[in-house]
Order: sequence, then structure tokens, then C-alpha cells
Amino acid sequence: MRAKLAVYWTGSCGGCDVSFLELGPGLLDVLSQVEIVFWPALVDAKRQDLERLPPRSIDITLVNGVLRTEENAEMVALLREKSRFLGAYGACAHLGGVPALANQGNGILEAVFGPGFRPAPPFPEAPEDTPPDLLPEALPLDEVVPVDFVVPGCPPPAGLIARFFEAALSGGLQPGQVFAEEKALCEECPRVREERRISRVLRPHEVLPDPEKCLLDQGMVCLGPVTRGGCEASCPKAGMPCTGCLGPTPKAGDPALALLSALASLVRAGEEGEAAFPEENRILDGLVDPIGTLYKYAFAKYGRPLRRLARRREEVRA
Amino acid sequence: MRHLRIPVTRIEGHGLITVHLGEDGRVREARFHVTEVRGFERFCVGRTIWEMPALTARICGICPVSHLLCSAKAGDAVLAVRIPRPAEKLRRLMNLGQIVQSHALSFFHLSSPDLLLGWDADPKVRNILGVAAFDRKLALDGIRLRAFGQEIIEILGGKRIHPAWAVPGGVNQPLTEEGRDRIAAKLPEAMRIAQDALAYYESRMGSWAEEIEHFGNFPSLFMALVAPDGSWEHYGGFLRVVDAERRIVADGLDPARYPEYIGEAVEPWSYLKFPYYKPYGYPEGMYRVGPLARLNCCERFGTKLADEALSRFRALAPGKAVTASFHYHYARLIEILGALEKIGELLSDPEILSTRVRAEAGINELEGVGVHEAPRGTLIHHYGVDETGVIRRVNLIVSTGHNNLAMNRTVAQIAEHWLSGREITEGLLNRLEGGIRAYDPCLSCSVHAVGRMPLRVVLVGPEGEILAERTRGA
Repeated sequence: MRAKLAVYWTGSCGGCDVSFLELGPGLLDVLSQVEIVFWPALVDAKRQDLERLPPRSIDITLVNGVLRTEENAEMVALLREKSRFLGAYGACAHLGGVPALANQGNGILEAVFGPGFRPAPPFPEAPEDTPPDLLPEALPLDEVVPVDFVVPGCPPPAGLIARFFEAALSGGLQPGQVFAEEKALCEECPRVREERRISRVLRPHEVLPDPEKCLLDQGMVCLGPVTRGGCEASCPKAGMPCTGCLGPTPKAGDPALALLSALASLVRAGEEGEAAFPEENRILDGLVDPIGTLYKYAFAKYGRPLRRLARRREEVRA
Repeated sequence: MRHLRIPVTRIEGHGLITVHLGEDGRVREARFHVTEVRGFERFCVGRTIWEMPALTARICGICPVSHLLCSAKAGDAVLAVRIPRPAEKLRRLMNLGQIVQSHALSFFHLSSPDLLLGWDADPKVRNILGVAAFDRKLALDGIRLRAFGQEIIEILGGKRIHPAWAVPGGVNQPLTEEGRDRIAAKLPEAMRIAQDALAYYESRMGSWAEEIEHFGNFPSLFMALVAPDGSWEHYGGFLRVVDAERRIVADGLDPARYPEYIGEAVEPWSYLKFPYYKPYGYPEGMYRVGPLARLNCCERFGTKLADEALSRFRALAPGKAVTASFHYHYARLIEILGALEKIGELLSDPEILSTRVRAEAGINELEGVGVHEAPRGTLIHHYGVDETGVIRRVNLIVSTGHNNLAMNRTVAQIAEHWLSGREITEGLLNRLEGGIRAYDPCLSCSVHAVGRMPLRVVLVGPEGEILAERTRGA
């Protein structure tokens, strides 16, 4: 019997849906082994059809996108009820992704549409057609429903998608599985790392990187050491530092703290007290926008303590 | 007023259509509602100008390259640099690859089910899988052509979706000889597929006459970039606006001064704004962008096969603009062919392998606008920064947004023609979807949000009472 598959998108860019096409002609093989019961980007199906399904009747559901609106949260709750296995597909569902950088502040609707903007129904008799309210924060999937497995990435790379389908279609899906390496990205990066001391934090635009050497050794903030492998280091190979889309390794935990500690040792900052290396201490000033750089995809997941701290500081100031 | 309500699938994004009927039972207006928003304009504030290309690429996973390049152009303006010629050629090459892959996705994966199987086919088979079962060659051709465009992006950028390659000042990696040869080796097959698809469309066009007539066939303005010599452009040049008679309404518009001639209206029932041509006011300043607009605005394509096809396209409306939105499909196929020819030209240019690909500079302007042609039409990124390059203000006007008013008009026209009485038939539903799909709207881009694109039609009477309702998608 073919496995029943559902794919759903919440606040997403569509790249995750498109990523399945990266399987190329192999996609048709995968599709021949599944029965698609729900996939709005690809086939016509109604929410009502989904509602009518018995609980746990979908074998595998993949959700991509951040949870941004109340409607997103309702839909994933419905999908959870109907699915045996439900997975977070892509960085937004996994960690909150880029859209969760919005959690740094509020007032999205007013910022985009102008002061005083309030969503309204298209006509008074259809209040249910009012554009849905936003959740107070952008959330990763597992903050709203239990998640059985993760296919990470922005978007998931073809190799990991293939690995996922191989496991899923042979009945080998394990609860808690993350379809990426536990080891850091550096392990699969062809660049040569010497852990050299750096004297400047360079941003990608400031330098044409040496093609052979480790980007971190060249002073670029590369999240390779704290990020899961599985993408064959595709960004570092193209001369761009890793920005952490596969999520932190289990060992690293909070990617910002882990990378800051790695950077601190490269610049020797703080080694012998704050005053010992005043110049070195200034090196990290070159890290403009630490939140956007170190928590590019993971702010929803790991940024909470920082947000609490910011709130407390504001309270103290007030 | 009566209203009619529909959600839409197989389009990238979330949306809903309402059709409003007047006292006489005729369609008065239709609205295309978008129900997602992620807030890029808000949370890009605080990031740095150098991070913006990779960050705004996340606006849309269907056309990340468009945002990447447009953002890099806005960054060039902030740095106040003219990027090295080879860098511009490489960016052009990537954008052409993007046009090929995105148009292939639109035509083969999303629209060919309607074109091949018909608007009245069972929704269960009216998808790319149904196409594969019916015409395996066409489905495989689509997959291969898209893969070709994607491969160009991957060879240049290292990653097919969300590549991190273009930066303010140029690009961060040149093209290798091996990479160039890999692209060149696959070009002939891509050309074959593009020509086959074009021939297929031209031979079948007659059977879609009714849809061509009523899927958004109305006079409007058209806007696109054109080269200084008036030929087809996708990266540089100036904006031109033409009317339905193909008369030039405005020409040589400096893209960076868009706020002088483009206004953005807001309606509380949609998270998608309504851009309009300012001199004509809102909503009279409705204009269309994208493949149809680019072909209507340019004087020639500038490549042999595409120019031959363009003259057949022009013959649809001699001396005038082609105003049928259905022919977005036609224009898309001609653009694929022309883009492939231009890719061939770039590959044979020795400068394409040059390693001079980056101009270095600091913050020299506190404001920058990037404008280019994404597959779906003109894309605008506008940033304000502080002295350290940290973003203070962002405005984005994306292709699907420009078409918002025209899509509403299209929906109204389709409802007018196919709505009989108060019943929302499957055929009407499918055509409403198909009419919108002709624009290949990408709601991820347009509201900088995606999600599903359900179609829900609600028919509402003169007193506001709901007469009928049909839903598809969620």
C-alpha cells in the first residue's frame, strides 16, 4: 500500500515546496510510491476534505513555514490530529527561520501597511474572511504541536530530502530523528582550517575570500563549527560563510553562544580579564548585528532569554 | 451587492477571491484577498546592507534569485559603485537562468494541467502528476528545462534555492571554465524543449479562444524595464509605460525615482498592497507587469528566434498591445527561448570568465534603490541605512503586487462571463483559478509571505446576504 503523504505550508517562502523538485526525475519515483492526500501547492484539495479524514489516517505530514498567524496554528493542530508522523520541514518550521527575526520587535502590520492599519472583512457579513490576526510571536512548529522528526535546511538540500524519503518509504522513520549530521559542517567542508588567530572580523563584502582557506580563519563569521553537516558545505564552497540553516549540532546548543565562544578564542578576547587585551576586545565590535548573524534562523528557538533580558532592561530604564 | 467567494490552489501563496454583484445581478467588482504576511519590511530593520541579499532571498523560494540580485543592486546604490562589467554579466546570466527555471515551473508544473487536460477536468488529475500520466514527454521536458535554469544558478551560486552569491558591489565568485562548459553542454536540449513548448502553445492556441477572450482581456497600462535602445531588458535600463494601443505613456523613467510615479494603496481586507501609476490615480492607474508587459513595452527582443516568435505574438494585435492576460503564457514561452539565446551569447563572451567581479566600497549613500525584472515583473527594493550600513527603512514592491489591480479585474471578467445565475460551478472555479494563474502570482513575494493558495468563492447578494459558496484548498 502506498504511504499517505500530506505537505502543508504556513508562513513560508515556498522554497520548501519547490525543494522537492531538487530530486529531479527521482521525484517521479518518490511520487509513485506515495498517495498525496493534501498538498495545496501541488494538488487541488479542500480543508473540508482534511477535516473529514479519520484521526491518524495520514501516514506522514511535512509542515514547512513559520507559524505566523492564528490560522497557521489552527491548521497545524488539525494536521497533527490527522497524522501518524508529523515532521518539521525546513528551517522555519524547525527553528522559526528568518521570519522569526521579527520577534525582536512588534508592530509588523503598522510597519508594513501604515499607522492605524487593522485588517477588516471584505464585507461586513463575512467576518471570517478578515485576514487572520498575527500570533504575538513567530513560532517554530514544535511550540504548537508535538513534532516527530525534522528535515532541516533553508531549504532542505536534495541529499537530505532523498535520505528522508528513503527512511520514510521503507517504514524506517524514527521518532526524534533529525535528517542531518550530528557532526559539524566543518567536517565536510573542503577548506583548510588552522585555527589561526584573527585580527579583524570581516564581512563577506569586505574581502574576496581565499578559495582554499577556512573562512573563519580569514576572519569571516562562519557558523560551520556549530552547525549540523549534511549540505556538503555548499555555501562555504561558494565562498559564503555558513549561516546555520541546518540548525545547531546537539553539542553546540544555542548557536550564538557557541559561536561567540569559538570567536572569542580566535581573537583571544577576555582570556585574562577584560583589560588584558583591549585591542583584541574591540575586534568583536566588527560583528555588526549579532542577532541577525548568529541567530539568523534560530531566533525563535534560542532568542527567548535575550528577549526577556531586553524587556527587563527596558523596565529598569522606565 | 452580492458577493462570491473562492480560495485558490496551485499558486504560490494564500488567497481568497470575492465577487460582488450589483442590484442587476451583474458582476460589479471582484477582489483577490491575500491572507498572509511575514513582515520583512519590519524585521529587516537592524540588519546590515550586506546581509540583505541573502535575507531578502527568503522572501520567496520560487524566485529567491530575483530578490538576491535586486537587493544587491540596491546595495550597489548605497555603496555608490558601478560594478565591474563581468560581474554584471554574471548577474545577468543568473537572472536569465532564474527566468528560465521560474517560467518553466509556471508553464509546465503549474499551468500545463489546465492547458493540457482542460479546465473542466477532474481536479484529482488536474495537476503535474496527471500531466505525467497523460503526456510523459511534456512533464519530463518541464522538469529538465527547469533543472537547466536551476543548474545555472547552482553553478554560479553554489545552491539552487537561496544561493548566497550576489553582494553589494558585484558577486563573490567568478564563473569557472568548467562551469561555463557544463552550462553550454546542456543548452541545446533546453533550446529544443523551449521550441517544442512554443510550437505546442501556438498549435493549441485556437482551442483556448474563449479563455483567451475572457481571462483578463482588457485595456490597461503596461510597465517594464527596457534597454536604452528600446530592446527587451531584464536587469538594467529604464522603466517604460505603454498603454493598450502600445503608445508610450512614459519613457526613460529613472527606476530609483519610483515613488514619483508609483503609488501604493492599502485595503484592510488584504495583506497585499495595490500599486498604481500615480499620474492616473487609484485605481485608474492600474498597470500590468511581467512577461506580457515586457513584450508589449520592448521594441524587439534582440535575439533571432525570440524576435521571430515576437513578430507572431505581435500579429495577435497588430499595432497594439496584446491585452489578453491569457497570453502571459505565450509571452513566458517566448521569454524562455530568448533567455536561452541570451545565455548562449553570454557564454561565448570571453569576459564571462573574468575574475574582476567585485567593486569594494563603504557606505557612500544613505539610501539605495534596486530595480530589475523578476520573472513575474518589475521588482523594487528600497533601503535606507545609517552611516554603518545598518538598515533603518525598507520598502519592497514586488511583481505580483504590481499586478494586484489587474488580477482583480481579471477575476471580475471571468466571473462575468462564466457565472450563470447564482451557482458557482466547478468550471467557473477552475477558470477563476486559471485566470489568476496566468499571472503566475507569487504570493510569497507579494506579501513577503506564502502559504497555501486556497480558492474560496463566495457569492453575495445586493443586501450582503451570502447566496452561494464554494471552497477548495485550505
